[in-house]
Amino acid sequence: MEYGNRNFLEFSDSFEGMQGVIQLEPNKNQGNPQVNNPAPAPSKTFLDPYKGYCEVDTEIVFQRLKKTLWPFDRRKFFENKGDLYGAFWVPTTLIFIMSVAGSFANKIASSGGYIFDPKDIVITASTVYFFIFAVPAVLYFVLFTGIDIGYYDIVSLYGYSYFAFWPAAIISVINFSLLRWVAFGTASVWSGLLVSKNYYNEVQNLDEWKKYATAVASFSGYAALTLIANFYLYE
Amino acid sequence: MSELKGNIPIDSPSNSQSIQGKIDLQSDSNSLNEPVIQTILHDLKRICYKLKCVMIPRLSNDEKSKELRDWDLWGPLILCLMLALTLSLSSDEYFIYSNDTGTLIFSIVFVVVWIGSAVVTINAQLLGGTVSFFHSVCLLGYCLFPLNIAALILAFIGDISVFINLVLVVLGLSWSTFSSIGFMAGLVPSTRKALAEYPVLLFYLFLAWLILMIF
Repeated sequence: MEYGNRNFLEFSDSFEGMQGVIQLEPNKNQGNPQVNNPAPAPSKTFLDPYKGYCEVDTEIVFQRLKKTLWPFDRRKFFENKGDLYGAFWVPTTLIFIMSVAGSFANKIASSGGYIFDPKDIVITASTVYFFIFAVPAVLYFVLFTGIDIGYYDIVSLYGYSYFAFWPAAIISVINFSLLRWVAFGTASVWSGLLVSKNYYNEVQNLDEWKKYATAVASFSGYAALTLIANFYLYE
Repeated sequence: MSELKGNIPIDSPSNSQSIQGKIDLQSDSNSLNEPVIQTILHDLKRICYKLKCVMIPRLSNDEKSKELRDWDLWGPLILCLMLALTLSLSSDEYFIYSNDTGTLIFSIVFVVVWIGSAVVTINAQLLGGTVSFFHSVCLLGYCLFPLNIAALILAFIGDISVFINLVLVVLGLSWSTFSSIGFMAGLVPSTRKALAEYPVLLFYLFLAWLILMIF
């Protein structure tokens, strides 16, 4: 019998005293092996808004890294949108390089008496990540109010600017204090130039105190890194 | 597994049909009745099987990911704990006057393994990969196995020569990385392969360096 879309079979067996109804499902794959199901519709995850900021290819990331090393170009750094890939992995690699170079430098310098201190990693990592998050936040919320620059664009640019510290970290393995200060100082100036050149036009229209505050905020991250490197990491 | 097979003939007015069926009498919930040892052994066997699938290079990447589709986090947890314990106990006997180092190293390894796997997976997802989060974390965790072995070996012979340490760690690192890098690269569009592979390398590189520093 049919009821709606489904088939029901009544059965009754007066001998055993059973009766009931069995619902039949229509057999979809009659004798065919299961064919590929259509791909499930992509579910919306909480990452979707960030995917727009990660539309970069390997080529583009390399180009941006190269652009970081020459900050004197007056054109905008990003053609249209920043990318969070570089903003995260450049500082993370920097933390790794600094930890490796720091322990290496200490091992050479103290020749056997050096004990590996994992606190270095924690302090370096916390500092770098804190400044990556905080400096763009200050710039965006406090200083650039009213100017049309997105927070994630500032974060991307700031993250990429840490690329200048990679050579500084590697050079600082050499146990020469003045060299370390010069290396990290140059890297700070280089990175700061990159950030300021990019926002030069917008910053020009700000009030006086805001201009100074922007400069201070931008350089604070690099300054902190320099101080940690020289006083703490590479003993 | 016991099953009940049957054939119910039906006489209906239109035609004569029969319904065939099979009922599995042993389901997973019956594992509640078996002794704990048996359940543990069963799970351990599954973990070993997955480990073999991931580690032995004769399987292609697609087959590997199919094997791990029913992911479980027990394997990665066991490997992570083993690694963290090995490193923290070895560092404790080395640095006698600072007994905090052991705890710090344990926490660093634990945090880096889990948050690192999560970050690498999220990175692949952001770059356009469509992979289940836990599937990827599971695979990255299982690929810790070579570094784990290297750490365990070094715990015994770590004092002999720096060169041996270096060779063992590099071997473990390359084995781990090659096992998981193919999987990662397959998830994202081909123009972004290197972008997805690099974090995997960095992840295992960091752990390898940590192992080197402690021994």
